[in-house]
Amino acid sequence: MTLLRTKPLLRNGYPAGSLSEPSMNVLEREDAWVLELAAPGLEKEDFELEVAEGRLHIRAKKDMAPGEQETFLRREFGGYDFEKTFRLSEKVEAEGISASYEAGILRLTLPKAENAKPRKVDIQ
Amino acid sequence: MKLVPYKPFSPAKIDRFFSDFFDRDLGSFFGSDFYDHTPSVNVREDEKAYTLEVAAPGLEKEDFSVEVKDDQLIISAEKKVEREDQNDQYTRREFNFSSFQRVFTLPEGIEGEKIEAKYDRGLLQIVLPRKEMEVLNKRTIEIG
Repeated sequence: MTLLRTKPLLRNGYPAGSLSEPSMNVLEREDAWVLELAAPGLEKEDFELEVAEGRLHIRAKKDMAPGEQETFLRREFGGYDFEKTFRLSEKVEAEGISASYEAGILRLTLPKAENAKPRKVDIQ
Repeated sequence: MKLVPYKPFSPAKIDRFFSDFFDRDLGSFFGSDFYDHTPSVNVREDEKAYTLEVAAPGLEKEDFSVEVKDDQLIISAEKKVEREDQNDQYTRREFNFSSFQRVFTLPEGIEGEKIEAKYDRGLLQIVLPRKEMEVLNKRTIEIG
């Protein structure tokens, strides 16, 4: 799998704290790769996930404007408006990709295709 | 899996780097690796209360400790149950909030006994109500 950013980071050009580009962890298990996106404060409905033409698209947009009677004394994070795109290699079983959102983390599991899994070789 | 090399000094990260230096306590800045492990905090204020929001995804509410000591609010977390499998290998790591501490100096007029906290969708929200007096003290001054 190759990770590529097809769009510039949205945080660029915005004042700090106005929009968040989520941090991401990638971990490898024996049978899958797992992407973890740190995106606290959202609902699972705020995400749009799409697999098309060998690419995985992750989008989320949420305005987190303050209430009318409120003022911000400190603002280190803001709402979301991001899109991340990953090119899926043939090592990923695209049909089997699943996602969950829990404790502010969007977790995508990308199962390995059979040919990418480790296998033991028997000695004849 | 092939990953595009992680570039800690891309423009976005430099921005981050400097704001870390100015906004965050020095201990966490100097002790940090390149990934985020000190959560961002928003503080809102309205007539009745101050509300702090700590963006710390991936924890359980039991992992947090919120303490008021003198005029300081001490927020810390220590992940008690490490759910990660030993076989899991991180090939890229940009965040890990499993252990942190942030300290804020409280403004005057907080009802210390009535501070409330909850953890939902990765956000720790702490509501610090103002004392009744503070609320009542707000008045409009007419121009004579």
